[in-house]
Amino acid sequence: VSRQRPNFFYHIHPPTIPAREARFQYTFGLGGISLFLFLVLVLTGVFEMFVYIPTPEGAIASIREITYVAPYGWLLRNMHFWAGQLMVGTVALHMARVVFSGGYKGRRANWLIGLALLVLTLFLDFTGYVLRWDQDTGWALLVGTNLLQAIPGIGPALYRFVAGGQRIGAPTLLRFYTWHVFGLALLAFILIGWHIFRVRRDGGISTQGQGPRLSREQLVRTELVAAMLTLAALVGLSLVADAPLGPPADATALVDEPQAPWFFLWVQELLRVASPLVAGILVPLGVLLALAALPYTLDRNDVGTGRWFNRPGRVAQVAFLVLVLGILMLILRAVLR
Amino acid sequence: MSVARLVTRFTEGKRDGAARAGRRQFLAWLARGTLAGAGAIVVGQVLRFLSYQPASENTTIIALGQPEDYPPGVHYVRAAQTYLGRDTEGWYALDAVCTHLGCLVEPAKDGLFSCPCHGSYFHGDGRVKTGPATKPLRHLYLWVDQDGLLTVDRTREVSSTVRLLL
Repeated sequence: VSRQRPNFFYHIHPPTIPAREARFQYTFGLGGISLFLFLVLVLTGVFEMFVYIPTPEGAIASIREITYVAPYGWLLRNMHFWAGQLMVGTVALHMARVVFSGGYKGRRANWLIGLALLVLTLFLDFTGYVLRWDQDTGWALLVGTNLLQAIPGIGPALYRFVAGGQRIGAPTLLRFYTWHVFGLALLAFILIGWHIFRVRRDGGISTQGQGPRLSREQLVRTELVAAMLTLAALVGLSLVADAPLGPPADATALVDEPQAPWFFLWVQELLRVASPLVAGILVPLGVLLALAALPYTLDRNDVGTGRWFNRPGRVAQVAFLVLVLGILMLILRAVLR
Repeated sequence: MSVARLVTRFTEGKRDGAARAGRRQFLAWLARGTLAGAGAIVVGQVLRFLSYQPASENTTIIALGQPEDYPPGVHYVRAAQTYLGRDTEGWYALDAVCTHLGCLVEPAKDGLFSCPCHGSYFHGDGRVKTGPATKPLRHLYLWVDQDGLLTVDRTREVSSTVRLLL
């Protein structure tokens, strides 16, 4: 352990971390990679804000300017897009790692903060998707906001609050822009800080016992390597695959196959068979509640903390797997349709 | 300790310890109450600001064009998001907005309409054939305006049997 006064950034971690659980093969670095992707998103997003114009007339034109005219704009936009897509994946996998290795045992409050961050990630992705204001995102926005009308009582008021009026238009785009770049981003920033603080306060990564410990300097070095590899993968992906941009949104044009963003395709699939209130509101809320309840109901036993596929958590692990596989199957069905 | 007793103790101004403690407690209570009240007022006004709605500028009355432009059959009129139909009985206007979640329905085989978002099917007269939609497509009020143009009002719904005779 270093004798020097620790550098500011080291304070993100406690002075020592359980060595076994700090290994990449245990966590796969998923939480850290998600944080890194969030930082990339903030940075590339702020750059995009220098050119992007949040109006129905300006949106696509300014995105084309970013993509085709501004030097390196295409790379910037691709990186922002792919970091957003990847973050949904890494956050979900991070959650799966925590369930399967009993990481939430004894620190259930942080599990709830993590769930809130999952929801924020999805909302940030959805609001960002809407900012394209092209054909696909236009229909996703229309369906998504019309779903709110199905909520009994507060539905119409909630719709007007989200849409900024009786129907979709320029105020809607401005509100989504504000939520995307400020409201949701700030909330995510605060919750990420709290999430990481709770991990530190609880002594670092969940551990099964009194094994050898590692200094935080060593962990930070590993994290820097993981960040560099993630950055390399992100740039690589952005070089070969372009972020989509369709024709401008037009509320009067007939469209063959309007599709929700991929992480909401399972909801779109459910909407084909169940009422909007059930499929669009109650089921997603139920999934969230079920996830929130896991460490409070099926996996209350603290035995097995930090052990992959620990026996006391088996029921919760299977329930989680069934839930996630169900969602993935629905997404797959929508993709193959 | 009740508020009335706190006030009494405060105003009597006894110099003993109990009265001083009571006075301190009362002041603390007063300070918290004032802050909470002020906070509630601010939050309330912020909510009022956030629920402000700019006036809507949408026109719901839309001209579709000259009747001669539309031969018998069903035509999609983009400006009005409406299917203008002409059958043996007369003219009618069918709202293209799906009653499920608002996508635009498309003409399908056998004179049906299908919704591309969630797969509802409607009969040519707007009745639901298969869900998830539960309500029929709306028939809109259709008339000929003073310039001789077919015109719909998107806010006025009529029965599916109503026809405009020209």
